[in-house]
Amino acid sequence: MTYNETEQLIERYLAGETTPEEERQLALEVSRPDAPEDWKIIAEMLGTLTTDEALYDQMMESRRPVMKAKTRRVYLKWVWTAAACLVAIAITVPLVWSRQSTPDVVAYVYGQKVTDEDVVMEMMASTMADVLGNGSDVVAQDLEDIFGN
Amino acid sequence: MKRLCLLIGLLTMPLLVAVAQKNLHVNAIFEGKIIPKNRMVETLAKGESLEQYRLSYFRSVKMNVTDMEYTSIYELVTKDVGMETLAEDMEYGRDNDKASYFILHLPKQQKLERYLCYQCYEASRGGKNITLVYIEGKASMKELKKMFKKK
Repeated sequence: MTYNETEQLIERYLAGETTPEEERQLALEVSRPDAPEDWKIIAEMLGTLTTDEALYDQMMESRRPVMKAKTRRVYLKWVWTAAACLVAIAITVPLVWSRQSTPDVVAYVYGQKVTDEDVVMEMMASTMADVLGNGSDVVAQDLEDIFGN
Repeated sequence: MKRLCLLIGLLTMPLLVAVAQKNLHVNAIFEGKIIPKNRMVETLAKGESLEQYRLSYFRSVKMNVTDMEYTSIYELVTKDVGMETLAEDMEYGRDNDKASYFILHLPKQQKLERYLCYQCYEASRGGKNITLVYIEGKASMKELKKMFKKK
């Protein structure tokens, strides 16, 4: 904190507007060896307990291992990679599975399942001949429909 | 970053194949969402059985529909036909307002040719008979027409 910031915090403390966290921060500032004399009065007002708590927190914070920036980037990259892989698998597997779980050759005639491969392939060939042999064949199909039955 | 993108791409490649048909608007027709499946004749073939035709996937539905149902189907079909600007090729025809057809050569996916074929004609017993076919494979349309020539 800068000198001015500490001064502002002192004013807020004296006005009773500081939070416990801010008081701990203030306690750290006013108990510095190079703190001005008039700040030491504030230290006494805060009391030994608040000052000791703040100093203890600061000490524990400095002991906690800080992940190096580079290590953190590598770690996050692998986390994102793993997450992307999981999402891709979660989307792909059900779709591919649903396609693979149906028989290779099957027909449904008005809801009735037909699995005879020869029959189904004959149906397929007939359908292909119908749709690919269009033009005059389309009209021929209609005429067959009228006169065929 | 490059490795990450490559990995994601490899993992989602099967997804592209799986959704090739699902991306079409007419997929709702194939799935029985417009006309229920108990009113359709559906044919599905994939794998080894299609190798002789140089195809990998075949799906067709045939149905008789009312004029109102035809409107819904027509809307979906025209949305996919709207992809014509992206399609490789399209063939279509109309016959005396009684029949119409198109064969849409869709953009390739994973080096596979894709076609959407549609045929509609007035049914003698009323309504319209519609056939919709979706094909994937290596065969060209010329080859397919030769292989499936009407007897």
